[in-house]
This record gives sequence, structure tokens and C-alpha cells, in this order.
Amino acid sequence: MKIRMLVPFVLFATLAILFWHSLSLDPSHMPSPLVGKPLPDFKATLLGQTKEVRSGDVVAGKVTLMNVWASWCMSCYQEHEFILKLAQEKNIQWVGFNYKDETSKALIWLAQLGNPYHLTLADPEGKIGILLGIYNTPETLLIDSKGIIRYRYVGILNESIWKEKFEPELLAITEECGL
Amino acid sequence: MKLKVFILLLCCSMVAISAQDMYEFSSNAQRNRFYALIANFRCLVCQNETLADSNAPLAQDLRDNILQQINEGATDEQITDYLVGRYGDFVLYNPAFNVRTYLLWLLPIIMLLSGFGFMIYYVKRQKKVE
Repeated sequence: MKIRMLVPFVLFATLAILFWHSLSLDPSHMPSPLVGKPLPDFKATLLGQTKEVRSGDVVAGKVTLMNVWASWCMSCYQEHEFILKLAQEKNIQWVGFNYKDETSKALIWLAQLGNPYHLTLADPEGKIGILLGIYNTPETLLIDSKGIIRYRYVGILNESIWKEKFEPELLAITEECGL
Repeated sequence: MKLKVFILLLCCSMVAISAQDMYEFSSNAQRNRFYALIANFRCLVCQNETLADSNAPLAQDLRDNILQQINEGATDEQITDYLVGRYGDFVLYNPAFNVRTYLLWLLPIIMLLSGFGFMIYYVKRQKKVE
């Protein structure tokens, strides 16, 4: 009889633990299904120019960090200083991806705040963005030298995110390539 | 005076209708497919709304993309695979029914039935004691 009386309590405790754990989960967190797959093939114009480049050519042979940003995006502004600092590392290439933005405003933004990118691709209508599964700004994609997307982070880049999420993956890439 | 106010309000409501997107379809079947599809995908910016409801720019882009795919002859399955391949299962407004989501879909029914089961069990036990 006494054991039976414990059943509601055990049920409650199980639910309580589940809910407590769920409080720390982010329901809007969406891992990209493109992780582990090659960067989709697309052609894009360089920001402010008429020259077009192929995605495969841009990422071939180098470890790339593709940073999705726009001049209207406050969060991109917040992470920009950190990216400027990171871009001083010479062994990875930073490629800017200007998403749903006006070219003139984007160019002014880079001129005023500094340009960490080796090159910047322009996607003013967001069509390439859909190809890459972009849904928010800022986003940062880590692409290895074979063109495979290794990781996609949605949100403002900072020191702790960089250390927790990007550095382990970068280490894995370096070990694979024997660099 | 009331007539003037009424006419003014009527004009305002006309403006609201014209603010919606006007899409061109080559057939009724395509129109129906389009509206059915956009009600089944989630807007990833306003994540509790469907692509049909959301005003977010990304939702607009995705609606245009779906329309383009319909016009190019893609099947509903191809369009679904395209979006899920880029945005993941979360882009489906109704979670897919597969091995990973059986519990998600069936748990409410299981809990309801087991609740009833317990109720009947305890009521019967009470009757036996009497």
C-alpha cells in the first residue's frame, strides 16, 4: 500500500526533472541540415562590382569563414569588432555575405567600421540565402578546404562562442589536413 | 455624418485588402497547391507562424521561391525536400510523423488513455471494497 502512494510523487519528480532540463534548451535552435555537405554551387557578384564568382572557386583549398551580415542588422554591428580581431589570423579566409542589403549602404558600413573580409559576396534579394538555408543575421559558416560546410552558427560571434563552438571544429580540420 | 464615416472606413478596409500580395497562377490547381504548401511550412523568423501568415521578409522570399518552383513544374514532394534539405525538419509546420516523432504525436493520446485507465481501475477497486 505504501509503495503505491509514492507513484504520483515519482511521476511528478520525473516531469519536474524533464521540465527543469528543458528550461535550458532553446526551442528556436535549428542546426543546419547542410552541415557535413558541400557548399551549394552558386554564382554571386562581388559587393559593389560587376565581377561574378563561383562559390566553389571561392572556398577551394582554404579554410573559410563565411559571415552573413547586413548594414541594417544591429547584431552584425555588435559582432563586427570581434570579427575584425579574428580576421588578423592569416590562415583562414573570411568571406563576407551581404544579405538583403543595399550595396551603397553596405559599402559605407564597411568603409566606416572596417573590412575584415578578403572578399564580400552580394545577395541583395536573398535568393542565394535560401540556397544556403540562411534565415537570420548574423550567421557564420565554417567551410573546410574541400568545400564541406562543417558548422553553422546563428547569432552574434563572441569570444566564448568562438572557443566553444568554432575552435574544436577548426582543430579537427587542421588535424585532418595535416596542416 | 454617419454616412461619411462609413464610407471612410470602407475605403480604409479596401487599402488593407490591396496590401496583400497579388500572385499570378496559371491554373486553379496551382493556386490551390500554392496556398496548401505555404500553410504547411513554418516561418523561420516568426517561428509560430506559417509562411501563409507571416509578414517577415524571409517568409516573402520563401513564398516567392515556392511559387517559382511550382511554375517550374516541381512536385509538392520536391518542394518539401528542397526546403527541408536547407532548413531542416523544423521548417515543416506540422512535425513529420516518423520514427523520431512517434512519441511527440502519440504521447498525448497515450496519456489520455492511461489516465482513463487509472480512473476506471480505481473506481472498480472502490466498488470491490464495498
